[in-house]
Amino acid sequence: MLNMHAYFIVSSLLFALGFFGVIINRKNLISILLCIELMFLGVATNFIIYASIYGAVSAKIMALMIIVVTVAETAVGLAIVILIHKQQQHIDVTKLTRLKG
Amino acid sequence: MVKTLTLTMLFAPLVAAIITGLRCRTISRFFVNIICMSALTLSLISAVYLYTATATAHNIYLYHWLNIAFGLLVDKLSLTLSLLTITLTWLINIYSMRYMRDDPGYARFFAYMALFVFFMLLLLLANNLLLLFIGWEGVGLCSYLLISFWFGKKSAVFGGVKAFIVNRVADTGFVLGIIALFYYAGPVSYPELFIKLHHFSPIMVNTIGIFLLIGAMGKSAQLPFHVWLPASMEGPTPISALIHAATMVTAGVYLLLRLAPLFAMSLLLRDLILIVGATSALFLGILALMQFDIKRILVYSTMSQLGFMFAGCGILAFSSSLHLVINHALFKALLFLVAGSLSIALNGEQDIRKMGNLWRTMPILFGCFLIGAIAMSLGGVAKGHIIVSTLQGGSWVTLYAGTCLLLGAFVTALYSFRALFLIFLPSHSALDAGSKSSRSVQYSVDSTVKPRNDNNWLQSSKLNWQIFLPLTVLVVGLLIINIHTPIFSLDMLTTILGAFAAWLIYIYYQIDKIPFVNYGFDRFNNIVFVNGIKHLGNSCYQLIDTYFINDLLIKGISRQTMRGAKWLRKTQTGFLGHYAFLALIILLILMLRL
Amino acid sequence: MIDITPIIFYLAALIAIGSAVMVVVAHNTIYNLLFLIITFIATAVLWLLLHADFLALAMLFINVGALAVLFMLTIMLLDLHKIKRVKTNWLYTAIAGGCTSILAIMFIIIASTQKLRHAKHISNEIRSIGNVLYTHYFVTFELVGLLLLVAMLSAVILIKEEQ
Repeated sequence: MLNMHAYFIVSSLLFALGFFGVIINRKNLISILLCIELMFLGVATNFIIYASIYGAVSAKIMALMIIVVTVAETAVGLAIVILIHKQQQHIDVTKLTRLKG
Repeated sequence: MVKTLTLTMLFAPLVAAIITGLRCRTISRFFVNIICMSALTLSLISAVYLYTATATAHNIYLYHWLNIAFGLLVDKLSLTLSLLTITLTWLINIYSMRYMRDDPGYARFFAYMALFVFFMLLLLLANNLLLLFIGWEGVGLCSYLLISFWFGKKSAVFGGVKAFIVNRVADTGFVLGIIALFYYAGPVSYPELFIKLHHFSPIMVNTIGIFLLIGAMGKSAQLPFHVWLPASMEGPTPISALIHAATMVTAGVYLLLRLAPLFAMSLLLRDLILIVGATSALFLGILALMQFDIKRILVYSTMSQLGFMFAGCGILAFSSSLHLVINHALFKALLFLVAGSLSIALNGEQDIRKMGNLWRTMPILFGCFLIGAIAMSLGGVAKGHIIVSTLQGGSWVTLYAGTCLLLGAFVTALYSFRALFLIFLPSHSALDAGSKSSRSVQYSVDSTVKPRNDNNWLQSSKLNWQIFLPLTVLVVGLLIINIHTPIFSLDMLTTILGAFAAWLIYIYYQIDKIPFVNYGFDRFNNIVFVNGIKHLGNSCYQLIDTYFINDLLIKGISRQTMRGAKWLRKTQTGFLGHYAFLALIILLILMLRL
Repeated sequence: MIDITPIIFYLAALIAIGSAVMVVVAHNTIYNLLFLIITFIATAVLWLLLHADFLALAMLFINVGALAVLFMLTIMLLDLHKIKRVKTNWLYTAIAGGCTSILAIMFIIIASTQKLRHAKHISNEIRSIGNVLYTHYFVTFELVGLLLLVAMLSAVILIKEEQ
């Protein structure tokens, strides 16, 4: 039988890769959003693992919520991306540095 | 009844002051006259009635605030001086209607004057020291306003400021005294205070007494603090008469009289008062001899006379002092009114060297001045009494003080008759002007200084009632007071001696090359206090304000903040990944903590 | 009969991690998206192995069916050809990689300290979820619905042309 720790390794790696992608991303906002999707996925997987181990339905519901929130986040995020593109004619992360001190 | 009358007496001038003062730009002179005169007349009637009707002291409770019962103390002392104040103000008000007739600040002047009366009455009638202090500062304020009345004149403004500052310095002592007294005895009225006084230790009495004495000396222009009074002569002459000669400067004497039980308790205090008074009486009198401005002569004589009053308090001759206060108020008001009339008649000339032989053209003023001068020299019967009691004191202090006072009385007669002779009598050299080169500014009366022809209101035939009435009343009052002077008395002796000496010196020999001294008080103050404080302030400004607070604290904080911000803003790259990285690091730190 | 679960697991996990790496690394946004879809699918397989049948299906429907299409539309809508290749800052990348690996290792360590049982099979997953969701988590359910509505409205309002 498979060791359950292997699942944790997968979910942790998914989350960490997503985070890593957000940090080093120098391309555009959409790929950042994609990396955030990865992070969500890792977290949701984590919840599913726990739900499976303990037979807890609440954890599954939490995963469901995460999926829904992901969708909402993506909708708004993409809307913002389009808005930024409308204003700046680009969505280049390296150029969107108006907060630079 | 007593309460109503007292309040009427006190607040009628205030109402008049508020009404005229707030409308002083638009109100007509007629209404100013009506309002001020009716208020003062009301006040005067109340005062007269109270003076005749009340035999016992009344402590009128007014208001309770901050655990202090404010009230008015109506007794013989306060009523006498209140009556004196109101009478003089009433008379001088009438006089001022003529004197200030052409002044653009007519309403303002009368508003100030009514306000002054209110504060003076408050000072006199107050039943505890705090209320007295309100009046005390109030008259100081009015004095400032009235000295600087012609605010376009630079010297008037400087005079006002000088008076204000010197008075504040002295008032510091006064405030400390009041605080000390309240600390030990609580905010009580005078009668209760005097009962509690017996529990005080001598050191406490001395400390409090010295502080209060400093305040009294400042207000009464005694020797170290006398410098403000000559400067105050820049105001209108009625003001000099009313405030700076007759009433306000006697506030210090009033304080000594009012707190007589306190000052009587300590020999040290009595000796101090005696020394201050006697020294002022002699040395400020000598200064009067050196002046040529008629108002300055009168003002130095004022300080000298106040010295006599102080000395009287110092030897516990309180009734004599009070007597002297009344007498002085009357004759000094008279003399100032005469001086003001002369000034108007001679187109603003105040230098007595340029006057002379005026007795024929202005006989009434001559008579008034003569009576005033005699009254000043005689000093009622009180001056001689004070001198004799001082000489009988039997200690070195009283010996010194007595000698000073005796010489002071002589000097008083000397300078008053000097002024009289130089103004009104024909001077020898005036007839052959130019023969003596030393008298370079000697003019013939007939050629340069003449009574105004267009308005001969000083001529006896057309005397204005507004001038005539105050002079008459004052003369009558002086005659009543001084008529009882015995022929063979010290007063009479010094008067006659002084008059003779004055005649000898100024008319017969015509010596007027007296070296001008003023004891260097102004210079001393300038060098020590003004420059010292300037330097202190400058160095404080340099060190504390500029360097410490401005450079180090304010600019330093802002500079360091800017520097820190400049350093910190480098962390704000505006790049999204960096913020995420920061969040990651913080997440790691939090997890390590767990 | 041999247990093929480990084989399926390792295969799916490998595909998931590998495509996740490609999501991060690939330069073209379209490739990013495609690799993300592959990750989704592989993860769904993992979820099936964990007996979360319904959720795996739901995730596939939502994420691949709706989300990925939404991304695709956006990418096509925006003109992304102008984006130049940025030179990678290797030092920064290394540090970031180190930090994220520390994070991942810490997650794994925390998970490995727990005593874990093997996955239990729940007979009727949809029923059990539904039982809890419509009773105990009813308010949450409604709130999430509201959240979706608000997200939709806000997206519409944000994009809308100003009159």
